[in-house]
Amino acid sequence: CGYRLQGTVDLPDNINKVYLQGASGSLRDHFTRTLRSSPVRIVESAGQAELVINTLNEKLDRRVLSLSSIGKANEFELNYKLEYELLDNQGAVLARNQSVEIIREYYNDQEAVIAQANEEKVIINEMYKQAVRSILDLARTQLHKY
Amino acid sequence: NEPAWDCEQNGSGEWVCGADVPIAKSPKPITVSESADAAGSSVVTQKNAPSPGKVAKNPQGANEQNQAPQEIIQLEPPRKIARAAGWDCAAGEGDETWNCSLTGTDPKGKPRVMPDERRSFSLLSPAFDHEQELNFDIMHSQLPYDPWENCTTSLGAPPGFLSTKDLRDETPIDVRADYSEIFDNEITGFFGNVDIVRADQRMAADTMHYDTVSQTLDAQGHVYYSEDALSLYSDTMMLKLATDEARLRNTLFISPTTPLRGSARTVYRDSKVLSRYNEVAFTSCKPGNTDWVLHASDLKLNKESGEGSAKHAWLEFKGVPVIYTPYISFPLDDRRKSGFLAPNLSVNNRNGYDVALPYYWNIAPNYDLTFRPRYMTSRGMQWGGDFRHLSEMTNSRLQFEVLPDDQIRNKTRYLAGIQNTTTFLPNLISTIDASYVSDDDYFDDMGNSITINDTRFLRSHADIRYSMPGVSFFSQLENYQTTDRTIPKEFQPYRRLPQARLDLNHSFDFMPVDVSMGSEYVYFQQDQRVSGQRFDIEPAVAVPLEAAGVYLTPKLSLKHTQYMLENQEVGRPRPDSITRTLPIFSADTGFTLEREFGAGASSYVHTIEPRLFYLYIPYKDQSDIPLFDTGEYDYNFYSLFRENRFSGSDRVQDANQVTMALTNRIIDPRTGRENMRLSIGEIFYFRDRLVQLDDPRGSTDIFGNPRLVNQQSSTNSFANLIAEFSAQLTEHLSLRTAGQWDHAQNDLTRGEVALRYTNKPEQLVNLGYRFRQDLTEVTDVSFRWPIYDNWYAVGRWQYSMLFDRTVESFAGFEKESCCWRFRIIGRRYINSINVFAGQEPTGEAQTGVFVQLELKGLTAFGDRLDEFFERNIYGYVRPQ
Amino acid sequence: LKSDADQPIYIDSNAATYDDNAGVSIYTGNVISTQGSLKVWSDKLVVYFKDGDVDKLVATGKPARFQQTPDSGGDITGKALTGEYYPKQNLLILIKEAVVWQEGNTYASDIIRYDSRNSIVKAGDQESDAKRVRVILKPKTEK
Repeated sequence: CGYRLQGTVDLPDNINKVYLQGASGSLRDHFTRTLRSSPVRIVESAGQAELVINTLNEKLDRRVLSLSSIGKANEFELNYKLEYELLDNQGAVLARNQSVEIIREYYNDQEAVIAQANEEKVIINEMYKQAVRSILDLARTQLHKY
Repeated sequence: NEPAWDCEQNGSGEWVCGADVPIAKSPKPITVSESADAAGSSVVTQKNAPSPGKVAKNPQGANEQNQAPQEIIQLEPPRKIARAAGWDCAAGEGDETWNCSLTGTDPKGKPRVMPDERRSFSLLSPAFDHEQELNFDIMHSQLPYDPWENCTTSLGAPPGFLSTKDLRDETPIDVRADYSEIFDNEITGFFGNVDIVRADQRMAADTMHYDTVSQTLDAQGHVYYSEDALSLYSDTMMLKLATDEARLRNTLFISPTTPLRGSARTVYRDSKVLSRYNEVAFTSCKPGNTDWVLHASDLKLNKESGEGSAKHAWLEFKGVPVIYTPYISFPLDDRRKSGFLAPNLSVNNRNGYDVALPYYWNIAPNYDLTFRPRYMTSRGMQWGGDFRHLSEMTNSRLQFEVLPDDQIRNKTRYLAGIQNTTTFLPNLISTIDASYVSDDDYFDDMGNSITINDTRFLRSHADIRYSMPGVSFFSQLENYQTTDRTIPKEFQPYRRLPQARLDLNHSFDFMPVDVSMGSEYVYFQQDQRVSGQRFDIEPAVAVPLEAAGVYLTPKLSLKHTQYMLENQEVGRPRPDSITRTLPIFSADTGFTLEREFGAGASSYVHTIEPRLFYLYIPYKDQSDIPLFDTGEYDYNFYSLFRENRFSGSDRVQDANQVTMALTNRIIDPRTGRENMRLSIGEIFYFRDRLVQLDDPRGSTDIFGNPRLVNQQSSTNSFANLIAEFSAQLTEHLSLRTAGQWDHAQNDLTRGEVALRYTNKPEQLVNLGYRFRQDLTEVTDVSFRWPIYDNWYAVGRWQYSMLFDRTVESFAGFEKESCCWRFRIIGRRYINSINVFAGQEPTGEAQTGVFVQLELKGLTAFGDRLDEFFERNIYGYVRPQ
Repeated sequence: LKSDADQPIYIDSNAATYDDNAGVSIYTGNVISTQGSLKVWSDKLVVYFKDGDVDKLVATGKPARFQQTPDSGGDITGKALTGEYYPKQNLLILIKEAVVWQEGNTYASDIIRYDSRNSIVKAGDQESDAKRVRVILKPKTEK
């Protein structure tokens, strides 16, 4: 019926060394963990890499979504926004102003504060995982043109 | 001692030049001064030369013998000094013909700035008259780049602009004029349309004299001077090229880096970086626009220290005098600089009039102090301070605020806080963030009134973190101070003194196996409730298989937890030591099908992504285990794929279930952007869930609102159906909806709809409806919409249907103009809570007016409304 | 030099004619005239006499050139289509495409008056902007 299987993470095969420029520690960790099960490796300098992901702006914000009857926030929105560009190892731009935005909401009546802090950590980790997958998907689409 | 000139045109138009340094050459008329004193130049004449005496000059004061007196060489300046460039026509006598003369290049009808007749209401005469605005235009056009190009204060030249400033010493001086006279190849005089160019310096004037030995240049009449970082117009100008000193009269100046433009009666440029102006008026608005003008008796701009300061300054806004201050200092660039920060004034029913005047003291390059005296009419005087210190390894900050005698609550109230980050090694970092507040209502009363005070706790912690590929260690001491009186003592959070976590993970290259081991030790303490130590270790092995787009990841982990309890609760005895060991097995599998539809520009890719998540965990009775740091996850699409429905380690759910989920996406193949996404998911239980969360706080909070506990019944055979749908309907309109269907109640237990219209940064409309059964039901509208001439209406309104009241609302205006921004809102919000014994606590509504005025390039006054909008209106971006 | 004014004037050329009653002598063909340190090269030179004394010399060339050593500073050289020299006043007037160089500085205009006794150079025309002056002063080399 015309549908075909798509590999989970298959950057064009001439790219298996990626350098992250300017990314935060958490994004870097999740990139390494996600790429562990794929042939692509993270390298330490732009020179060695075939693809450089240059982070321009990375923001993780927490906003109040709704307030309780006494004006205390009980629903929060976590908003992760990443703006980046794809470069080759000479610094030439392969794909300009790319952006990924991940939004999650969760209930937090701010009473069991330690439990909800644990929940927020779990949610943030999942957001980074999804951000990494989106970056790789977008990169796959952009780079296939070359 | 360089000879320097100070020339002034007196009543009869005759130039009189006084010398303020030993007698020096007076350019005009050439008078050979007999009374040359010892230090000045002397005159050597030739004995019986019939022709005019030769003037030899030796400024360095070397004195040649003085011979017979010399008759005056009379040299008149050219009778007609050239007028401004362009045509100049006068009516012919009698025969009604025009006789016009052209000076300079023919402007060929290029438009000239006409005086702005319709001057709006103004108490004052315009800061710059028409003539000055005309000159500002000419200067503006001579600048190497247009600083007002896109109306942003870029505080600096645009990138890619090369300054040829440092070439000055090597480039020759290129002069053009109608007529010139050069004496002995040292003293040169130029008359009529003089135009000098040297590297980035360009000067035009009617007449000019240049002494090549002392490199002093002296210009009169319509003097335009421009270089990379400055553009000047004045009647007279004296410039020492060697040291860049200058002295000007009746000057107009443009400093493009800030950008600032203004006028001054006299300007002294003492060096390349320091310039002093007196009787000055300046603004950062475009030429022709004087929305705000700062007048000052004198102004000092020091580019080296990046500091500008003015004395007896008063601000004129839209023609109305607004503020006077004996002294004001402001930064010329983004370096830190001592001085008064913008005062903060606000008025509300809690503190009455609230005035704060912070002073920033830049003690040293690596530490500074911001001193914050604040007076509140209804509470009294509060003293605050903010000390920051930086070293290679540490970055620390100390805050304190003390209100010795609060007239309303008549007691001393204070806040103290310390933050520190120490980087021992790039991967070994410790942070300390501890603060303490004197009483629960501190933030409600004192807090910066604009921020929503939604915090109920004040977290203090000191931690250390070490990470290496495959190893991460984290340890901390943590304590929460509860600042919300509605939370009784026994339900205040546990202190973790200490908590230590070690996570190891490793993946093998030759086979798809990931092994990991998480271990944690925590000592929980709470005065009213059971405390104790918990040790938890969880080795795990996962086999991420992936072939032809299908992935299967089985994972087996063994969670072993041990408790040593103490301070047992009277009513609830527990064994002193409890252990729990549970195997957890999960398998996550799925694949992605994709197919292209349409062709060419309108083609899109549709993907179908089924996913299966099986979970098996045997049951173990955990009712004796206290709840230290465990709560129930908020049940949503993403929690469907977690191995435990509880956060923390005190409860591990028993499970034999499979989650089935399906995601559909429509992707634009050119950009990889997701235009539409539909996800549906559900858990199918093969067994009842026996482990429950027996929350000691009960299932409702003290307001009777149910807590987020046991969201799923433990006996249903399948959980709520979750569906999420988001789509980019048009280029600007996007929709996000989500819902949960409870089969037992046959009803929607949760739902939300969010419609977002974002068209460029100005037009924003967000409409939202959120519903959680018995928890919240709110509608939320927020918008920013242009009304007229850069005025925008701004607002947000959140109405809670569950509580039948508005929980947050503000509305106001924002004006964005080229050189200033103004924001004003009226706000009605729920702030302090009054809890009366036996009654249900109610939130008391507050109303307040908040104002912010930002003079771009100078300073900003009032509340931080820009940050407030960024937090309250989705899509609002704070202008930099 | 100041002493130039008292020096005799030597003139060397391919051909020369002398018109007694008009008091004019005309030299043509790469004319070289010198007076002390002042030297003038031109295609044609017309000398006007007044009661036996040299009153004015007019050199024309494409261009005519001159060179002189002043009392202080480096040599002065110049060129123009026409050069009029008044020995008594030690005044040289260069007309049309006139350029004078001295110690790296150049002065260009359609009319330049060079008074070598008082070493004053006047260029351009006071009354109008028809004869614009262009002066290039070399940068002050480090003292």
